[in-house]
Amino acid sequence: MSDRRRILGPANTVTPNIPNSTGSRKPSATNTQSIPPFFLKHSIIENANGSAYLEIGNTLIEVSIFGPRPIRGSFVDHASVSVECKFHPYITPQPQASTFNSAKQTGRTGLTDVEHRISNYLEGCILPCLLLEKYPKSSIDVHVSIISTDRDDLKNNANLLWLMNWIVCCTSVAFVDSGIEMRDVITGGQVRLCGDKVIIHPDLEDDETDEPSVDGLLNFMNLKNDEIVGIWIEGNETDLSTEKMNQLVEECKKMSKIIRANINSYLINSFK
Amino acid sequence: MTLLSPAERSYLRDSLTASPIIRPDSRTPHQFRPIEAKTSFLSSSNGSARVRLIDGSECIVSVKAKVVDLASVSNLVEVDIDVDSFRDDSNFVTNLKFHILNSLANFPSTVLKLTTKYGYKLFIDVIVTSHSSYPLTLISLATYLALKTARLPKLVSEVNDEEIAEQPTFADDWAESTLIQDLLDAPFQPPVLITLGIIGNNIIFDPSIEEEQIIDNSLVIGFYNGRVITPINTISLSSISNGVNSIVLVKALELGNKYGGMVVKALDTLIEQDIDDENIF
Repeated sequence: MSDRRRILGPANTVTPNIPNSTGSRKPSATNTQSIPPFFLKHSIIENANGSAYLEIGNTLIEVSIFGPRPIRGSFVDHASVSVECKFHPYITPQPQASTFNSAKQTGRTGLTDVEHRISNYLEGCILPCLLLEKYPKSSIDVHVSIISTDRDDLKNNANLLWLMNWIVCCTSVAFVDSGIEMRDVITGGQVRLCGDKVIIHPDLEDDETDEPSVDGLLNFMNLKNDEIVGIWIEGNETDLSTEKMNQLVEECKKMSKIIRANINSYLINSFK
Repeated sequence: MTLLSPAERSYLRDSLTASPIIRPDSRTPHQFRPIEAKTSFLSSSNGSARVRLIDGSECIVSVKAKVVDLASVSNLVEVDIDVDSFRDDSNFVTNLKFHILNSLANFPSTVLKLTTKYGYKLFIDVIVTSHSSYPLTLISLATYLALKTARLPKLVSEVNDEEIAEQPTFADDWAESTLIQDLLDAPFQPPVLITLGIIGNNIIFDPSIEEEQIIDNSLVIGFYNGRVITPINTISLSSISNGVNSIVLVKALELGNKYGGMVVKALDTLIEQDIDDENIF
């Protein structure tokens, strides 16, 4: 029997998703200084609907987006996204190739296993962010060319994660440039937790320690309640505690917000 | 691929975001679909396993060891996956391969070293003859069983070949072959990968094909030695996915730690109870 004396709200209410605030945390190494400077430019390719170019250290990434383009065949109610990430052929060996790429892929025509994985992760990140239902019966093609990489073969796939983060950031700028409707600009953070230390972009010296470490890449939609769109955590740490995981999320979030602030100011200035 | 109508989607979404979670096949959130497995049935392989799910998904894994010159190979474990109706170079198959290979990154490869010069290289061949939901967990469970029951022949030649070069020779008697566990002198548990579906703030284990269409995103976690370990990855299983709240990641870790052990225990019991039954089909 329902309560008839009071005026109640409608039965099918939805509680808004408000994240609880986390308390004060210990100071961390993630600040604006610890992220290397990067160069970003959009609209570099004329015949693509959207494009962007990013340079950080020796890592050079170029993204072009074609679409939404109409597709033939039966009706689909939302756009399909296809992603292709490719290393330029002179990048040999590709990051982590010795572990993942099979030897028979040397005289290749298709993508290598590492490229497939990068493409798949990128696709996973951009699917939640795009308003695909606005583009029925169309396709969006994303082409990523990795022109150069920081080639140190770090353990835990750290160099692959570092590269991946910048691919995602560059792709979201290219999406802004394309004018395709999206929920938010995706950025991400990639840190290594090694004992109590937080290392951003580890180099070969950091790699020499035998201490177990965790490398994490998390991609966020920072304006949309810091929702996570992609997680890629690697490491040789066997004791993954809740605190460690929380710390990883916080550090990555912090880095993501710094990158986001940079991208925001760049976009505001360039579309003036 | 659209399996469900908008009405069905909405119904399923409401029941999966409800508290307690109501799953279409009335499983509890952390319950796997029943599996049926058989080990050591391929006589020409060092280890083999077949795992079937209740929906007809089936996966066969064979582990073969080959003696190689250690200097000439970069890694001692190679994985090859064949999925019915998918090209070997398709994104789907290569990603499955990447995840399985990545989960085995912590493989104790010292046990595969025979002498200073020679060692075993393990070839893990996977065939997925039929599947409806994402087959990664299925493959991982079958790989676990195959590796766990894999027997390596006994080395009879000298271990030390630093001064005198010697080709490794093995005992003819297969009864003397050893499990990897015995070589390791410690319980050997290859890592398993568990697929978790995230929907709102709820987490479900081993999502079925219908649930895959609804969930916001899915997470693949590694489980090893009674704890959740890396790699931890998000995987998009359907063409529509959403961002997830960061507390879900911690929740997934906790749930994984709590229930992952049961999965491994179930597999171990399965190996113990697996009697020599000629008729496996």
